[in-house]
Amino acid sequence: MLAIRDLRAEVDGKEILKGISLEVAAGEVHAVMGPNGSGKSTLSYVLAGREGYEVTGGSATYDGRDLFGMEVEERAAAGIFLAFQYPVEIPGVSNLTFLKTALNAVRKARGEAGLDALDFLKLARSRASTLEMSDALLQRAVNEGFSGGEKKRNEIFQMAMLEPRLAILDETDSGLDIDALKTVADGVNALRAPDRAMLVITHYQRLLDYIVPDRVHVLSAGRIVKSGDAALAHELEAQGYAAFAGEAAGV
Amino acid sequence: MNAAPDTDRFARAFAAARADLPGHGNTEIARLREAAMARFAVAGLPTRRDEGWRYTDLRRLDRLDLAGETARADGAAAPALPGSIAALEAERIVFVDGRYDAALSLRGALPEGARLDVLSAHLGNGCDDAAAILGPGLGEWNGAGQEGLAALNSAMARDGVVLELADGVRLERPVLVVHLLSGAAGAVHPRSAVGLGAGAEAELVEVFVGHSGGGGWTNSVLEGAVGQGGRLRHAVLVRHGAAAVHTGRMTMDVARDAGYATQAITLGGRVVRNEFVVRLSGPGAECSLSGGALADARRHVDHTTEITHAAPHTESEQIFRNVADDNARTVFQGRVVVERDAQKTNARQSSRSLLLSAGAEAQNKPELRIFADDVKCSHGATVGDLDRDALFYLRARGIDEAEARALLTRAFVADLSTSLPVASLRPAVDEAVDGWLRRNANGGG
Ligand SMILES: Nc1ncnc2c1ncn2[C@@H]1O[C@H](COP(=O)(O)OP(=O)(O)OP(=O)(O)O)[C@@H](O)[C@H]1O
Ligand SMILES: [Mg+2]
Repeated sequence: MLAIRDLRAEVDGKEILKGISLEVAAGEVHAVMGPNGSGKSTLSYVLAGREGYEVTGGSATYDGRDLFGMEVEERAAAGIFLAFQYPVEIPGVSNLTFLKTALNAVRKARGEAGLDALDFLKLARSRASTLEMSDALLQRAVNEGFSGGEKKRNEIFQMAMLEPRLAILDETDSGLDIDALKTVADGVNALRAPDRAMLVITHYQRLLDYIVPDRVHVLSAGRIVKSGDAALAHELEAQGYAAFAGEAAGV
Repeated sequence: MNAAPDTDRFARAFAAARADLPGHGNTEIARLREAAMARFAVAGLPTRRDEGWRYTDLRRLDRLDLAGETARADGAAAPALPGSIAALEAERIVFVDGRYDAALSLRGALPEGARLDVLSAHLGNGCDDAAAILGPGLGEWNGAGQEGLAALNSAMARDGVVLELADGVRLERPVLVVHLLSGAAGAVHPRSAVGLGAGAEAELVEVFVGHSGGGGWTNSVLEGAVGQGGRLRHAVLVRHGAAAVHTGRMTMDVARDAGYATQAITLGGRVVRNEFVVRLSGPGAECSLSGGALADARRHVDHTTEITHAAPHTESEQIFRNVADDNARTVFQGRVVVERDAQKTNARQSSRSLLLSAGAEAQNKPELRIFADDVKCSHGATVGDLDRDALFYLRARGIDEAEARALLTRAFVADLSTSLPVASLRPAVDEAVDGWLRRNANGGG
């Protein structure tokens, strides 16, 4: 589904991703772990198409299409969803208005009819209640004044509404208390399907106890220095990143 | 001063119109108009050398043929009443090219103690308050550089409304004053007067509508006073044609414990200036001024305010939001004067400008003149672009760039919607704003 080959990218003239190759097949969940500043968010932004993140080499295809030839909104419409590490606050735009506009834009791109106000509200209420999101949060301006945990929950709520095919979760677990982590993980697992894939960026084994990955990759200084199965995450938890950073130097 | 050539043209226009102006047979009214024209001859049109006019240039009036009166359009030439305006439950009074149109107006029964006249009839019937209406009243009071425009209006005023409410009278429905403009050459000088007695309450909506490409000059004056404990809620919607010039001056005296709330929204016109002059003259008086422009192409929109706190315990709030696209320019000048005796005054001012393209410009000029010592005054002014992070966030959810820009722009002006004083006007304002966003906030940048 997603094939990244020797991807290089820079921000403000500084190379951050230094040749990343990664293949995620439909139905799989891949975890990406790595120390602060290793380039995890950069990778997620490059895949989502954020301006200022310049691809300087390599390629990425999504369902065989050249990802970098697609506009940000085209990627979203094609089913790519990025749960932001730091969700953006948008004063003056209500969560519901935002989500209805987004959902109908995505549906339109998929050739489906838009939902009317009532059907949309029904869907939103039911998805929100599964994620224990209050009505008040739905009515408020997008992320404005939300707590860290509420913002993360809102990301997963949006994901549940938009039903993406490739979800990239950038540290969705950080800032969540244990109960919230469980709720969010349930939300993610509910979306697991043979035709969907996920890239889960995290620092903690804890999330991977709930969302068990097929593959785990260690990112260090802009390179994948080790890949393995779910056991690798446990190894990391026990040993820390330092050992792997050493391996990177030897590459 | 090079005012002379200006005033000559206008003097000729006045000479041509005077025998036909409402109340022309009445010597008192004729004398008031003469006197106003004499004041105009001294003041002339404001120029950029005048205080308060640094950013707005009326020389466009010279290039267009705007000295004389606009000839009355025949039915077909005037724009239609927009549906969202026609749908308003209101005392509707319609003027076409500055002249009352009874057929388009819609009048209901007013409560006892309420008087709502059309100015042309009011003056024509030999009223006893002509001096109060056309004299050098509030409209020419204290306004550096603007006296000329108000004086010219006093001389040439043909129509408008006179609204008088006796003590304690409340209007159930808003008074809706609509000016339909054909956009033909020449000027119209609407003049309205509002007087609310103690505890009286009213809503007043003024709408100016032109054909999309229309020109012409509208030089409007509204003067009023809100009596003790009274409330006036006021809104102005300017939707002139693309070549039109609009100068509007609204002056209000607000007595003890009374309140005046107003909002001006401009979506059309080539050069537009809305000026609010408010005097909080009694303790406990308050006012809320808000407004802004959605300006595209090469439009120039200026909102200028002057609030004088003349008594203690008075409160004022100002919220202005301007959006400029293409090569448009917006101006906000907000002056707050706190007189020596006006202790315990509270004045807040917030003005923000959003620039949607590299060629757009915005000026924000807050000004405080404080002569009392125990006051709270705050102002915040910002000029910025759309938030790049927010744009990316919306697009990453599948919303295309044009729609994302429209959503964020609408959010930027959301404060105006919440502070709109006449709630029933909201659908009409929303419709106008949405229409503008569809045509403009299209990512073209
Ligand atoms: N605008 C920028 N200009 C310069 N350097 C930047 C910019 N944005 C990110 N970087 C740098 O790129 C590197 C990778 O950042 P990134 O956010 O991808 O790390 P991360 O792996 O997500 O870290 P964390 O675990 O803390 O979230 C960091 O060294 C960061 O300082
Ligand atoms: Mg990160």
